[in-house]
Amino acid sequence: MGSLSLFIQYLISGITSGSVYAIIGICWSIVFLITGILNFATGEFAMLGGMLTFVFMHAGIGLFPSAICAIVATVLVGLLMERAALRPVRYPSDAAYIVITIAVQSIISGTVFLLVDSEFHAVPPLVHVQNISFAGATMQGERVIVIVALALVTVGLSLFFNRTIIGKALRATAISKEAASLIGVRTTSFSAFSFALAGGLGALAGIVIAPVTFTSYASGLLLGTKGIVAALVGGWTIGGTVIAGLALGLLEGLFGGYISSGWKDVIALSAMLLYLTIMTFMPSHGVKKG
Amino acid sequence: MNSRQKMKPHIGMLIIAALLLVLPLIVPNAYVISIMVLVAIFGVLALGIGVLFVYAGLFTLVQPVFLGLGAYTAAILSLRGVPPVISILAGGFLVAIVALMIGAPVLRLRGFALILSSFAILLAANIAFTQLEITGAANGLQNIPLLSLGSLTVKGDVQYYYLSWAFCVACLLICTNIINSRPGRAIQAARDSEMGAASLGVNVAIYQLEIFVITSVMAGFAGGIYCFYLRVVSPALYSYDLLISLVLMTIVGGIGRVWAPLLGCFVIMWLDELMKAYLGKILPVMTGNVTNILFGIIIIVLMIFAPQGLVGLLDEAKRYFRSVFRSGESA
Repeated sequence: MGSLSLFIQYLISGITSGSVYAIIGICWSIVFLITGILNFATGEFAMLGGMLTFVFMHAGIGLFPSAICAIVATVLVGLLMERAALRPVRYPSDAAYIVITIAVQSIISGTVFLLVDSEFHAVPPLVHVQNISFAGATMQGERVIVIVALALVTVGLSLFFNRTIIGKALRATAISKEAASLIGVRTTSFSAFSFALAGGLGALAGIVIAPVTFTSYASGLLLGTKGIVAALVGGWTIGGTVIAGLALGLLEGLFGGYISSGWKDVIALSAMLLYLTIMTFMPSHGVKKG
Repeated sequence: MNSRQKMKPHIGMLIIAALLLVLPLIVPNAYVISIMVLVAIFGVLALGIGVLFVYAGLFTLVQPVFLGLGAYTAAILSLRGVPPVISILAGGFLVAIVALMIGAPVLRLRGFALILSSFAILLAANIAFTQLEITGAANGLQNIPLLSLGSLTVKGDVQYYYLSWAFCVACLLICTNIINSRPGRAIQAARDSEMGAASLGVNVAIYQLEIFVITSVMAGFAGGIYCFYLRVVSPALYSYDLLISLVLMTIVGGIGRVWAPLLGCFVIMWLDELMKAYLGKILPVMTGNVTNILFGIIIIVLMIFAPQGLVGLLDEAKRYFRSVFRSGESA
C-alpha cells in the first residue's frame, strides 16, 4: 500500500469514528441545552444500543427487529433515568446531577457486565453496502453506513428543530425555560423528552459503530467522553458538534496511524482541557452556563 | 453553641481513637486488620475530596491521580535502590509540583467545566499509567522492596495498621486545622460568595490552590504507603472505579464535620467486603463492576432522600431524641 492510500485509509477510519463522536455529542447537547444536566451516561446509551442488538439477535429475532428493540429499550432506559434518578433530586446543583449521572453510568455498564458478559461482540451492519475502493484505499460498507447515519441524524434533527412546532418549543426551552413556560410550553415533559431523544440517537450511534469497532460492556465510557469533547468544542450546536466531532475523529485517525494508537485517546482529553482552560481566560466568551 | 456541646464530640473522638489503638489486640484477625489499613489509606483521599467539595465548593475528580502518582513514584524509585522513606517523600514532592501545575489553571474553572476538566485529567492519567514504559504498562510493577528506615522495617498487617492510621489521623488533624485557619475561612467565604470574599480583599485563588495542593500531597503520601503495603502497583488500582467509591464515601459520610468522609470510607469499605463475601456466592461473576451497580444505586438513593449523609442523619436523630427527651421532662 502506498503512502497516499495509507493516508486515505487513516482519513476514512477517522471520519467513521468522528461521525459517531458527532452523534453522541449531539446527544450530550440536546440534554444539556434543555435540562442543564451533563449526562455522563450518554456513552452508555451507545453501548446499550450495540450490546442489546447483539443480545436480541442472540435470542433469535432478526437484525432489524433487534436493532429496533435495542433503540426502544434504550429510550426507556433514558426515560427511567430521568424520572427515577434525576427529577426527584431535592437540592439540584451541577455536582449533584453529575454525581447521579456517573452513578447511572456505572449501574448501566455493571448490569450489562453482570447479565451479558465481558467479551467483545460483533454486530452485522444494518444494510449490506458494497466496499468502495479508490486510490488503493478501501472504504468498507459498514463505514459508509456510519457516515450515512450521521447525515440522516443531522438533517432529521435540523428539520425537526426548525420546522416542527415541538422542535421550536424545544429550542425556546433551551434558550429560556421561564420564558418558554410563560407562553405555554410544557417544559417539564421536555426534560423527559430530551433524555428519550438522547437515548434513541445514542443507541443508533452504538448500533452503526458496532460492526466496525465491536462492542462490549466497557465501550461506553470513552465513546461518551469523545462525545462531550465534540459537544463542548462545537459550542453545543448541531453544526458545531458535527464539525468538532469529525475534526476530532480525523485527528485521532491520523495520530493513531502515524504516531501511536495507544495514546490516541489522550488527544480528545487534552483538547477538552485546552479548550476549557483557554475559555477561562476569555471572560467575554466564557463557557456557556446551563 | 454552649461549651457542653463543644466538649461532646471530643469525648466521642477519644473513645474512637482508643478503640482504633486497641483494635489489633481485640481482633487479631489479619483480614480485618488489612481492610482497616485500606480504610485509613482511602480515608485520606476521601478527607481531601471532602475538604475540597464541602468547604471549598470545588468538586474535583483528580484525587485518584495523585494516589497513583505517589504510588508509582515511590515504587519506581525504590525499585532503583532509593531508600523507601525518601522515595515516598519524593512522591509527595512530585505530587505537589504536579498539583500546582494542574491546580493553577483548572481551579479557575467553575461548575461543570471544573468537573469535566478534572475528569479528563483522571482518564488521561489512567491512559498514561497503562501506556508508559516506566510504569510497567498494563502489568504494573512488582516486587517492591520492604518499607524500611535504617534497621527498622515495617512489615505485617499490624505494623502497617498503626502506620497508616497514624498518617490518617495526622491528615485529619491537618484538615481540621486548615478549616479553622485563615485559608480555611477564606475558602468557605469564597464558597458562599466568591465575589463577596474577593471584594473584602481575600485572595481566593491562592488559598484554594494552597488547599488543593495540601490535600493532593496527602493523597500522594497515602499512595506511597499503599504501594509498600501491597508491594505491587498496577493501573487498575487508580482508575475510574476508585473514583466512584471515593465519591460514594464522601456522599455517605455527609456534610457538617471534617471527619465525615472517613466515616463514609469505613462504611463503604466494609460494605464492599460484605458484598464480595455474600453476593459472591450467589452471582456467577463478582468484580468491581458488580459492586458498582449497588454503589450507584446507593448514590442515587442518598442524593434523593438524604443529601446530608450519615453525619446529617446522626445530627437529625440527636435533635429528635433531644426534643422527645425535653418534652418528656416538661410533661
